[in-house]
Amino acid sequence: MTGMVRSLIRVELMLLMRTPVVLFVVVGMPFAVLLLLSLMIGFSFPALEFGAMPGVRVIDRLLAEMAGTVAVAVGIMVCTTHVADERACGMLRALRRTPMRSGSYIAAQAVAATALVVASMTLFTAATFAIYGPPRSWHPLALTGAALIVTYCAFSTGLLLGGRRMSPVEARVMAWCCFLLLFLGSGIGVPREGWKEVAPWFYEITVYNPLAQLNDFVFHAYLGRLSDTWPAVAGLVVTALIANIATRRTFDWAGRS
Amino acid sequence: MTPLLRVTDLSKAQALNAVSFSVQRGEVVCVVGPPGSGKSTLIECLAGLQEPDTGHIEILGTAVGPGRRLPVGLAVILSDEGLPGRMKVAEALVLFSRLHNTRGLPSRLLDLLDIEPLLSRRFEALTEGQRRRAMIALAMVGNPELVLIDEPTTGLREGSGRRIEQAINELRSGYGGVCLTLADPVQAERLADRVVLLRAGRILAEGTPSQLIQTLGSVFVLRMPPYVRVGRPRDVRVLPCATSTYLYGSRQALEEAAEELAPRTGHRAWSIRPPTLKDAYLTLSAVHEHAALER
Repeated sequence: MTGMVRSLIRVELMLLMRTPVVLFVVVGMPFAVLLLLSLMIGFSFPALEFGAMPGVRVIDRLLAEMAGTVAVAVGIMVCTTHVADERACGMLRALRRTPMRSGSYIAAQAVAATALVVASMTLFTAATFAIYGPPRSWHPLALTGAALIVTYCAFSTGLLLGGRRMSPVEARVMAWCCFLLLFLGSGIGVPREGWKEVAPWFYEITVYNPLAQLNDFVFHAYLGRLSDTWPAVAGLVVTALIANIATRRTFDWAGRS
Repeated sequence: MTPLLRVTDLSKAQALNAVSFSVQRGEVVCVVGPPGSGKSTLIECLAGLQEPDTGHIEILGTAVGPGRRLPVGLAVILSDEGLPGRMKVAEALVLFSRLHNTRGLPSRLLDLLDIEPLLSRRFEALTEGQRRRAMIALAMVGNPELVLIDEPTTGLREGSGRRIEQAINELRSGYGGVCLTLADPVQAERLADRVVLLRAGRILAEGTPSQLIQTLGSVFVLRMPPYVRVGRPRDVRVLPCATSTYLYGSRQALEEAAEELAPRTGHRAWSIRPPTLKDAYLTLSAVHEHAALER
């Protein structure tokens, strides 16, 4: 990695960490979901095992699903709005006038997004292990690998959206709508199968929700297994590759014509 | 010698009409015109942000257009551009000197632009003048051969404006060339080696400030408030403008006109002065408007 890209990554990370929404997504959101779940169902609930998978606690599922959810939030919400903000203020144009290659900027964004996801995962894992104790068995490498795949898919989407010419407000509305649609239909924190009896229509939504597919993939990776949703995840990775090609053609540096 | 910037027959609907000029090495060229004259459109075309309808732009020997990367060695400073509000000036300077692979800003320019006190501050905490100074500093870290600046001092307080003027003067000696847009001909007279007078997207005249002033002939100028009914004094040309009425003629003719007008206005301390670039611009604009009306 060249010094140029290193400097850019450092600055991008600093800028992101100074943004309140990013701090909420990376640090606050996993704990907020855990707190909400505990308040609604009981503080002992996360430590309970759910019947379908003996030895696996609710918190194990939540931990894996939050890794996936944070990765998607960073990719779709953070990247989209961050790129739109940088275009609106003139940063992209200023960068484009330097000898830096376009790929260096994309690489810096990708590394910064990955760093945020890894930092969030590490913090939440450490905290939940401290509160509820470590799981009976888990596969940190597989978990990290799966989370990186999710990060790649989400980052590609975020870059495609952020690369479009739109105002920061439009970017925010679009990014938040996309994420909330995914989040609310993902059945987060509660096993998706649990919805079958309570609200079958909601279960149907979670079946087709990309975040649900990705989260299931991360959860099974956490347990050291391959999820049944792997074909869907493979499809999403291919879609992300296509999104990368589209981004290459459509990414708008100037923001005006 | 190949010019650093060559603009040939540049036209853009409702903004520019067959604009041609060039910037040579070591030259400060000011494009001067009132708001709406096409200055910003021109600089945005030069920066590759707008696509001209016709014409050709060559910067540092490379053709420029939208979507194309600007040649290395060109710095562009647009008046409405900044950096993310949460970024500190020092961080930006370090980043851009790394990206340009240079050792940062020469200390002389740092002093001139008074950047030292701004280093620890975020862009969102800077005043407009400080932001412009910081943006000029950032553009300079790449040791550019050609600098394009859009209205560097418009809307700034005198102190900030003067610092920026000093920095532009420094660029003349230390760098290749500077092309800047200005609304104020007085400032252009102080800064420019050559001036391009622009009005309604057309070039009215081009030359050194003294050449353009000489187009008025050997006259003096008397400026009156717009409410004074000047009439038609003998041997004096009258140019009514929005904020003042200008009288041009020999010193003697103007003194006579002032004496004649004094009883009507109750004001006797009129100052008669040699013409400036602003007078040249006003006169050329009036001639242009008159010609347009006649057409």
